[in-house]
Amino acid sequence: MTDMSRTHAHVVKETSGARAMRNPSDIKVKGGAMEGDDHAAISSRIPYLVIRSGCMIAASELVSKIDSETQSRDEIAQATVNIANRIYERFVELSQERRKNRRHKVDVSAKILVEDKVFDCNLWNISHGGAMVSPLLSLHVGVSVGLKLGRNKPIPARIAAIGAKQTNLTFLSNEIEPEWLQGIIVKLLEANRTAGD
Amino acid sequence: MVKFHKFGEVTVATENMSKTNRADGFYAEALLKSSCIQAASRIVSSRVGPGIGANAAAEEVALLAYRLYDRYVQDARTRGQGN
Repeated sequence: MTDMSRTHAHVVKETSGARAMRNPSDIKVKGGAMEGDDHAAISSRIPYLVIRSGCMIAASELVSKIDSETQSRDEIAQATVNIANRIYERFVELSQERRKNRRHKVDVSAKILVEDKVFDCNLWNISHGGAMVSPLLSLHVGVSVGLKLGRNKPIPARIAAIGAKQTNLTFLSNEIEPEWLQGIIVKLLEANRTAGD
Repeated sequence: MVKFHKFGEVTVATENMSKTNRADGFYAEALLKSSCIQAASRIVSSRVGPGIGANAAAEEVALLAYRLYDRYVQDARTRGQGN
């Protein structure tokens, strides 16, 4: 076990009453020696390795087509690794961006405010980019609205699409503090989960 | 509530599932992502030639791979509805 893992185990032992009963050697820290459940540790890395190997295969194909200047095997290997890393990093970035904008399925009552009018609807899903509510056939695409959830102040939005089965809203992101919206989404999900229990 | 996601032949439940199933799901997802990256590379490399910047090609592969993955998952979910 590494010094790092010993330190971590020590901290856990001192700060957590429940965990203090655990043997410090049970605590695993990234980078530390694997012991005990080595198999689980390796298994947890398989998805990462599968994607990495896909990047290597992809990079190898690209290098053979785009780079005519790499002559030696070392140069080809280095170019392949560089491109594989680049593909992997960008792919992960794209995954993270998408995760940030993931839609959360809910089923709660909401109100749509349009000037001095209020429409009752059901909110079906919500993300940082927009929301889907039950059909509001009396509205038009492009109309600015406010989505009111509970006691929160209305979220500025625009009607993006109206279908027979749903109305899609796009949030006006330049008028919204991301942290404020995140707070609303978290509270909403918690309330929705509690109601479903 | 349990949600089912289809990754190719593997159906993955994302809630109330055992650790083993979750690991299978991550593995299936990684395999699919890896296949998309390789497919994207094949598409991009068929269109490019010597002299193209490696970074630009890598960027294009990553974007296309993600689009393929996204599209595949959406399609699988649509087909999986009602099953």
